[in-house]
Amino acid sequence: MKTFFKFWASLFVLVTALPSVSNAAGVAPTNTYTDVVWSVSTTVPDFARCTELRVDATGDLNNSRRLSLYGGQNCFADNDVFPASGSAIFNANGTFSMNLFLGSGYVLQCNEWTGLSGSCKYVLIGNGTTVGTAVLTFR
Amino acid sequence: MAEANSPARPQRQKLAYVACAIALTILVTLLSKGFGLFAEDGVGKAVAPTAQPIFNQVQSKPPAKESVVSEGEITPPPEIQLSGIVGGANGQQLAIISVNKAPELIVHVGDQIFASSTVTEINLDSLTYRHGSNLIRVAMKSHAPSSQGSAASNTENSQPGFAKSTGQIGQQRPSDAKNGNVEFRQAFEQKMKSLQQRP
Repeated sequence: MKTFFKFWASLFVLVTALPSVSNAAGVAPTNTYTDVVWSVSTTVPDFARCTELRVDATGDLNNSRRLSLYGGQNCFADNDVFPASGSAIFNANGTFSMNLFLGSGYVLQCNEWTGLSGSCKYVLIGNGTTVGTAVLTFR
Repeated sequence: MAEANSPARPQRQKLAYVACAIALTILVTLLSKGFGLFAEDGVGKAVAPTAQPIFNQVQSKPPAKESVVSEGEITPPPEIQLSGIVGGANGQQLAIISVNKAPELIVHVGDQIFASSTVTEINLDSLTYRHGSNLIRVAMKSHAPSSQGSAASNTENSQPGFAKSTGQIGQQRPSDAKNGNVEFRQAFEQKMKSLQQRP
């Protein structure tokens, strides 16, 4: 009987301890910041009427300098959206950079911002041509 | 009495204990997993990733179509507000407008701003567009006399990239209040600070 209770007690301890052990092993939680919004101003023809960049940003900023971004550049006047996906990084020099693929043809490159607003450039995928710039203002 | 003292009883009891133990173990496992799920949800502001807000936002709006009702007859013109004039790179004027209270956009002469509506002229303080066969002029939003005066004088010195803002650009609309910028700004500033404090 005593052996049986010992067995049961150790099984109980093992089962209840498993989740906390897995957490301690480095399964860190990520946060998702939903609806992060910038106002966009550009004269690049394809995006001139697309005045809002709205993304969700996912990452573990306690343990990482990187974020995954996904969302879209909204063109309200045309009732349209350019789907966007990419990443952002907090650079070691204390600046912030973003790179977003827009639709199927462009990359929006925002390099080394010192704050949450700044200038970016639209680059054509394929030949890497810069087609124009944009100013992103964090709302 | 004979059954109670039979040698099979301890074995039955043992079996019952084992069954109980298995049931309890399953229960505990389920409970701990359940707590795990709740804990993940509760961490910070974690939310399951979804692209819904973006597509909903755009698609939930009624289609921006202004179809011709009958020959020669069109639907009412859109509500247009002129917020500012920008000097374009090639010297032409660009207008910052809001169509039907949507966020501002920059338009050139010749741009279609709505179905049946095309920009025909941009002046220092007004924009004219053709809606069907009618020409409609939209004046700059009225502001305090001092700011309007300075804006007018600034436009004379308009250069490429120079924006004559009337203070409307970037102004938060009620719908814009529903964004996650406050939380993101906090996380951003915290991360920047931690990077700057590094040796």
